[in-house]
Amino acid sequence: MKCNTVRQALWENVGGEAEAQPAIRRHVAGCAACAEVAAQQARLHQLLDSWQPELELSPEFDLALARRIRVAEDRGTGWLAAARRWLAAPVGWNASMSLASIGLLGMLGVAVLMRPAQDARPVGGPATAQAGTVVRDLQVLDRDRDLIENFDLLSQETAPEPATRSEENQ
Amino acid sequence: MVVEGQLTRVMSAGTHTLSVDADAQLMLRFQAGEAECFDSLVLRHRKPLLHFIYRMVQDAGVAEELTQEAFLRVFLSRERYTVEARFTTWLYRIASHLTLNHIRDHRHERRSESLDQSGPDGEAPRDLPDRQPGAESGMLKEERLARVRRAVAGLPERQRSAVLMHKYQGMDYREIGAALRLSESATKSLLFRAYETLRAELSSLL
Repeated sequence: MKCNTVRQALWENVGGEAEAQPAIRRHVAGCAACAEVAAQQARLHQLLDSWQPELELSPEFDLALARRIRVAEDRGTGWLAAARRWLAAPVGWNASMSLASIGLLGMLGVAVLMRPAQDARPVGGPATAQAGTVVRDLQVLDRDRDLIENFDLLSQETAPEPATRSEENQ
Repeated sequence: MVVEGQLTRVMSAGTHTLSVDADAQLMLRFQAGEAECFDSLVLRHRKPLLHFIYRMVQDAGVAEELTQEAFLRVFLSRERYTVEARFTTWLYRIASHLTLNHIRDHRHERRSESLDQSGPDGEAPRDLPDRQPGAESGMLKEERLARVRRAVAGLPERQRSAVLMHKYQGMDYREIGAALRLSESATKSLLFRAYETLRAELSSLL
């Protein structure tokens, strides 16, 4: 039996039970190095046993735990958490799946209905849309020009009015 | 729903005389809606769990926080609990997971703290005194314990966790393996390496 195997077997039995096994005991009896390791192992366990922390729970432990639990539960009472719980419930699985499918279909329907409005473009694609923009700009310019011309005409026609008003004021 | 008063109630069953299966039964009853069973589990396991976590992190405040967190996880996981292993295996798996995550997240802080230590022996400033039976407890014993703490703290996290479960929580290889998600042979190997490291580190005291 190899020393390493013996030492591992010794560790596996903290109470020294492994030493009671004949093969292990024979090896340790005939191997000074393993005998020293076995003695050190026993002393190490005694040393480790002496580490007993003088640590008590704080008086607030239970209160703090209860508070944590309450906070965690409150956090889990929102509609999203409720929906998650409801979906996770094994009893309502089929119903959940049906409703989830209906919801998904509803969302798809809304998306389809909204698509033409979002993507409304004149026939002809993007190039036509650009041309349309230019045409609209030209139309606006024409309308503005007409407005300016009409404005000039209006100014000419209404020019004598201030004099009339001043006469009336007098 | 657990209310504050329930946790402080001392139950007659809150001793270590209950069998291992009783823990799992308490958990199942809690799962079924008996909130007082959670209180019993907390009362039975809070102190050993606190000591396990304290030996891992060697900080009393952090140990208490992580102990509470472990019980909170138990509370929140009640619906998913199944009796696959001993309750303590499950509990210590949760605790190990939380503790190892904490150590990893705060590794840099602990390193910088250790650089700031002014004591000649490098003892952690937030270490608590350890119980010393007899009148001869003094500087020498305190120094020996400080070395033990440092040697344990110096182990890699999984080795440390395995040694503490094995040595102080009385868990066997299968339970430790289940808690650390290791095979039994891997657990034996892990423990062997850990104990050999401790033996080498503390050889002058042995």
